[in-house]
Amino acid sequence: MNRWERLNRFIDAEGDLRALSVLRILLGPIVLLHFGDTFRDAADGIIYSDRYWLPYFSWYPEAGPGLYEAMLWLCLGTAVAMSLGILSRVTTAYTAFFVGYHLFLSKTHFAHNRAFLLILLTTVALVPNDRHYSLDNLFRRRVLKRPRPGSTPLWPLWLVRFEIVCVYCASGVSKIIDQDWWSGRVLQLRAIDNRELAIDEGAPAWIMDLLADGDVQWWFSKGAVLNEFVIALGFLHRRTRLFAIWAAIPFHLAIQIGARVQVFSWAAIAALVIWVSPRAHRRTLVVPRGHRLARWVPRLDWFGRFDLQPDDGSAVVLTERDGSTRRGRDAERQTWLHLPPTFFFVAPFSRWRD
Amino acid sequence: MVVVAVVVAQLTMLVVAYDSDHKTFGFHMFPESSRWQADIYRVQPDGERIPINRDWEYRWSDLVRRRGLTNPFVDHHADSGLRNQFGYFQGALDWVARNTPDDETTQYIEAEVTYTDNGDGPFERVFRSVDRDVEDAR
Repeated sequence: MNRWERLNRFIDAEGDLRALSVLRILLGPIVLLHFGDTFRDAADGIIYSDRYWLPYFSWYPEAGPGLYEAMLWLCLGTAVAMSLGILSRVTTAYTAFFVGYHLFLSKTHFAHNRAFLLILLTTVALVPNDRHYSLDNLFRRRVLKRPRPGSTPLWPLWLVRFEIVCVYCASGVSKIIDQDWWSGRVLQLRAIDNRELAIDEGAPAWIMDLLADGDVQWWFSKGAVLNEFVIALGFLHRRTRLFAIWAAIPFHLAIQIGARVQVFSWAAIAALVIWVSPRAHRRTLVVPRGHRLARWVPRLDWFGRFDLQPDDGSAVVLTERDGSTRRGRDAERQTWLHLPPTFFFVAPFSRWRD
Repeated sequence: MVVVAVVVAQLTMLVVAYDSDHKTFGFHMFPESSRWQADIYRVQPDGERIPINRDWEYRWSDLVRRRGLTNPFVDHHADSGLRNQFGYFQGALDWVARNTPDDETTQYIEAEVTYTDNGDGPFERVFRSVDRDVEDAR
C-alpha cells in the first residue's frame, strides 16, 4: 500500500463519534451565551443594522429586519433542540448556518472565539450527530425499533482536530514573533491596567503586584506561550494526549478568569472531547456485582470507553486496548481516569496514557 | 477534496492574517495591551469643530456599540489590538457620517486619537470620515 492509499484509507475510516454527540449537547448553551446580547437587543427591537455595522462583502445577502429577527429567534429554538437531540441533524445544521451567517454579516461581529465556535458547530453538523444522546435516537429505539448504526466516517473528526491544533499553534506563533509579547510586556501592562479592578473584585494585592512585576512576566509569558504549544502538540500523540487535555482545562479556566474572552474558554473546554478515541468499547472491564463501578460506569462512561462485564469474582479487572491487564485498585483508578466527570481529579495520580 | 480544501484554506488564512486588520480565522489571541482615546468632532462647512456629543440630534453611544467603541472618549484597552480597533473606528466614523440624516450641517466627522502602543507613546493620529453631502441634506 503506497502513501496515497494509506492517506485515503485514513480519511475514509469509520468509527464511533459519540464524542461529537456530547459536543453537540455542550454547544447549545454556548450558542445561547454567544448570542446573549443579540437576543437582548432583539427583544428591545434593536438589530445589527440599527447601529454601526461593517459588511465584509457588498454582495452578501442581507435579510430584512423581519426575516433577520425570525431567523435569530429560530436559532434560539434550534440551539435548544440541538442540545436535546430533537431533529438533531436539522437543528444543528441550522444553528451552524445562522452562527456563520451572522458572523459574516458584519466585520464587527468577528471575534476569534466566534470563528472557533463556528468551526465546532460545522463539524458537528457534518456528522450523523443524532446516533447517541438524542431524543431522536431514543424515539427510533423505543418506538420505531430501528436504531441506526453507531459507526460513521471519521474525516470530519480529523478535520476539526487539525483546526484546533491550528488555533493553539497560530496563537503561540503570533506571540513568539511579537517581541512585546515574548518579553512579557503585554501581560505586565495588562496586569497593571487591571490591578485596581481585580483587587476590588477580591484578588489579593500581593498577587497583582507580582503579576505587575516585569521580571515575573518575562518568565510567565514564556510559560504561557509554551503552554499553548505543549497543549497543541500534546494532543497529537497518544502518549501525551491525556496530559494535554488535563493541562488545557486549568489553562482555559485561568484565561476565562483573567481576560474577557466571551465564549472561547467554554468552547475550548467543550472541544476537548474531540480527542477521545473514536473506537468504542475497546477496554474490557470486569467488575464484581454490587461494586460501585458496576453502578457508576454505565452512568458516566459517556464516550463508550468500556465493555462492562459484571462478574461474580472479587476483583476489578481491566483489559486495556493493547491486551495488558490491570487488577484491583490500579484497574479502578484507570477506570475513573477514563470517565469524563472524574478524569480531571484522578489524572494527576495516574499514568498518563490515552 | 473537502479535507484538502479546508486544510489549504485554513493555512492560507493563518498566513494572510499577518497582513489584515481583523485577522479573520488567523487566531492571534490577545495580541496587545495597547490603549487609546478619541476626541471626536463634527466639522462644519466653515471649518468650525463641534464636539460630537454637544448640541447634536444623535448620541454616539446610541449609534455605535461594543467592540471597544461605545465610549471612545475615555482612555481604554484597544480591543484585539490597535490595528483591529482603528479599522473598526474608521468604519464607525464613516457609518455615522452616512447614517445621521437629521444632521444637516456637518461636513465630515474628525477624530483626534491619542494612543499608546504596548506602553510606548503616547502617539497621536487623526481620523476623518467620508464627506457628507451637506447641500443635499438641506
